[in-house]
Amino acid sequence: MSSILIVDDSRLNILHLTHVLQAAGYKDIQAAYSAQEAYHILGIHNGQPPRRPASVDLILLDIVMPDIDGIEACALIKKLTVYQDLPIIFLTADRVHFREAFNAGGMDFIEKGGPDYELLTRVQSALKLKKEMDARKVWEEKVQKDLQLARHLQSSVLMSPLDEPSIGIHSWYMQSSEVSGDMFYWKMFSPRQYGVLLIDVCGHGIAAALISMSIRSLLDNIVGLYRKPREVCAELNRQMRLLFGKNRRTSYFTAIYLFIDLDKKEIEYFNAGHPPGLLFRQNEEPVKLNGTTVPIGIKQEMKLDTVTITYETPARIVLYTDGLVEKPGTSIHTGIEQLSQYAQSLYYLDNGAFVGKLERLNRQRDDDICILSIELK
Amino acid sequence: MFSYRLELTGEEIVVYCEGDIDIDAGDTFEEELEPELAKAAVVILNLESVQFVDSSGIGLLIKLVQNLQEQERQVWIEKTQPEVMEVFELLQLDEILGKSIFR
Repeated sequence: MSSILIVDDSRLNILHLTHVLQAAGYKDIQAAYSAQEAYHILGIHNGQPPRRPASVDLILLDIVMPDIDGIEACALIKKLTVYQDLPIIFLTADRVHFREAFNAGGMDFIEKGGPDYELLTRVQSALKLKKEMDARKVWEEKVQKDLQLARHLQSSVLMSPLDEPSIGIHSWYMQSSEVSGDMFYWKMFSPRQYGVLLIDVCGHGIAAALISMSIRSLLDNIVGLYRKPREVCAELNRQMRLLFGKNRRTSYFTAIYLFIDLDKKEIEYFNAGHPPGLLFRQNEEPVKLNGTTVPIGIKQEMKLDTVTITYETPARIVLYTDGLVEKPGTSIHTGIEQLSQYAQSLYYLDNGAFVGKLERLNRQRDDDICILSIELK
Repeated sequence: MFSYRLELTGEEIVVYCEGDIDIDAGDTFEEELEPELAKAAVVILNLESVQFVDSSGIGLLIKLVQNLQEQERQVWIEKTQPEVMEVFELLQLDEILGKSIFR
């Protein structure tokens, strides 16, 4: 049931309007004989808003009143966030106030002494708008709350940092909307052998997050069981096609996976359409871990080549998703070059601080970003 | 905002693409562009006026070209901007769609 508040210093006017509205079926009508009284009903004290808005859906507000006039009252009410969507219709006998009245936030006006149908039509459309706005607000709050829950859920499956005597892995993870299509994972096969994976599902938002989360749930098994890049790549592709291959739109993800052997000081990797990982060593040119095959999920049969490189300690490997280096209108290679130089300038930082600082490279982004830094000590 | 213009000569159709190819181009690709290409034996996608293609856009391109290739139609992608080409190279689009796709 909609609630209407009439504010007018003329009792006769209030009686008349109440009568017309009641006859049309509006039962919940409140009256205020001054702006002060209206503030009181709305819970406004000394210009301060109430914690919760009063249950008023529409205000019919007289313009010419002693002390505080309707225009001043309207401006004050509309300034308060809790009443931003509350429609106010001015009651006036004189068009001279119109410009001021609309500037103050009034949505409509009713000429005093006009026909009843005009009053009722304007009241009806204002209430309809209010109802739609309320419904939209409830829906938005519900979606927002849902997304927040999903965000926490997704964050809860992220791996905690790893800090072992010979290896450290730290991450930085940022969802562009509430949830992300990026995901990472690592596994210690033995104290001397590790697998590290980073994936970036195409697109972003909820659809990408659904894919990244379903893939995440398979990783304990896929990485745990297959371990070696070639086999991990083949199995990821098989599962991705099995799960999402029948989708109307092509779903795929780019991925980079490293199998690190600390005894042999050797890294074997595949890079499926992912931006190149960067291997840094002090006083040496960075080495790029370039693409070896197509993204996962696109082709039934994909190339399963891997690359093996050796390293000397201390070394650091940076893996990242394209959100960090991609800016519309500029070359992605330029972005990667900037990242490489920036990372070298931060080399002195410990691994956790290092990965946190790298994020600053791209602050104007609308894509998900994930960065991993692997320190080989 | 993505838009396109078609030029039909004989059995050959040139699609002059304009704007960004991203998630917002999805409906245009699937509901408008794809049906219009049903007639032609040879399809040329001209990307001269496309400055940005994101990962969703790559997905759209792959789907479009693969569908046409499955129907044994000849497809070319031409005049790709260098910045866009870098993204294609990163994702190994030539490996996916065939090395002869670009001209």
